[in-house]
Amino acid sequence: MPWTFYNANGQRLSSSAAGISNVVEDTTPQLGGNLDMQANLLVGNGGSTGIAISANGEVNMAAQPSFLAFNSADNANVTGNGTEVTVEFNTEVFDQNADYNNSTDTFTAPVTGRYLFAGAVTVGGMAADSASTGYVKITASNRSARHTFDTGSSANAAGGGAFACIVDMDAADTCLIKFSISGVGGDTADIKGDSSLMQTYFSGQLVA
Amino acid sequence: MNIFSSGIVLTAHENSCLLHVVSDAEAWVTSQITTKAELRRDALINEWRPTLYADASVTELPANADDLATLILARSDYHTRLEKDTAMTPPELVITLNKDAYDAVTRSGSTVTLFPSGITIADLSVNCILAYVQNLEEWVIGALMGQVNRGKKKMVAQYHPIIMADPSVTTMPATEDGLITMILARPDYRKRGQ
Repeated sequence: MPWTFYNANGQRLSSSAAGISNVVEDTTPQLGGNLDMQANLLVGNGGSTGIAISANGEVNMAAQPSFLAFNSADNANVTGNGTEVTVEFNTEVFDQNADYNNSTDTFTAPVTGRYLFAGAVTVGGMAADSASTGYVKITASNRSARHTFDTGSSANAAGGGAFACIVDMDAADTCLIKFSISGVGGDTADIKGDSSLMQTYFSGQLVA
Repeated sequence: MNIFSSGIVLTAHENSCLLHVVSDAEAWVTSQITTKAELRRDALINEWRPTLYADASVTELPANADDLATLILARSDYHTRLEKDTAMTPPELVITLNKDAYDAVTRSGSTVTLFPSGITIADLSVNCILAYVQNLEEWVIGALMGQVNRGKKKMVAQYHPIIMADPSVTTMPATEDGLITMILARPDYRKRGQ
């Protein structure tokens, strides 16, 4: 027997013949049970990339801003006497929404939100026993976050700083990483890089 | 305030990459600035509200966001981001990376000039942005070149598989510029809005 469902406003929601015909007019649609996505995506505003939910409940968001890049080779003699440098992260591991530029080492926010940035900068080439301090700085458009560290006696002539912060960014804001070492006596310190082991790396993700 | 009084020059490729992800470049830039100003105005108000409430000399506040922001910006204890950064010991360096990277590229031959008469922005909008941003032109160039980069990467990501699957294509350029030229010349290429 054919059937038809109507909502409280008298709008036709579905029928046995045509399925749900139109829920656009219903401004407060409610589900009576789980929404089974099958193999389909939740997409926004006519887009084709969205949220995928597997049968086991794992969620993937293929266009969610998320990137990881690292420095693939040493940058020699770039700091040590207080010189602040922009850290190079020239090799991308992934960049889901094309927001990171490995030519300028800069992330550009596609939408306003809260972004988690995390990474590390490893330094070497400092003279042994040189008492040095340094800082690593998340430099975003609206604000900067600086972590200062002490490399101690630097007997092993190496050190570095890690960073992590959730940063408020407006659409089109940029973020990059600055780094400086002081007390070496000259700009003889190197920012470390390697083609396989990530020693100096920068990652970010839109979290809210 | 008028910034970039001679406009912003892009190469033809940069402009094409931009138009891969926005349908109107100037409208997009204008919209980003307007939205940024509103967000920073609201952030400024939220940041200063406790100070205003604790200030016994303040007996009433405007009920309008623009007027309230204007009141905050006029306070003697208000300082722009640049003023705060330069007052630090040692002073925070002024970031010019985006502008430096833009200026490092020689743009000649086939170019497009956005905003040939400059970008005019209301003073209140400028001041709300400068409460948080060191330099407005640096921010605009960063926004624009970030979007150019996004457009380039998305264009290549979208069309590289199409080219690879096209039996009529036997070789492809080994440079990014060459690949973009090839993509733009394809009859099936569509920019944003087409």
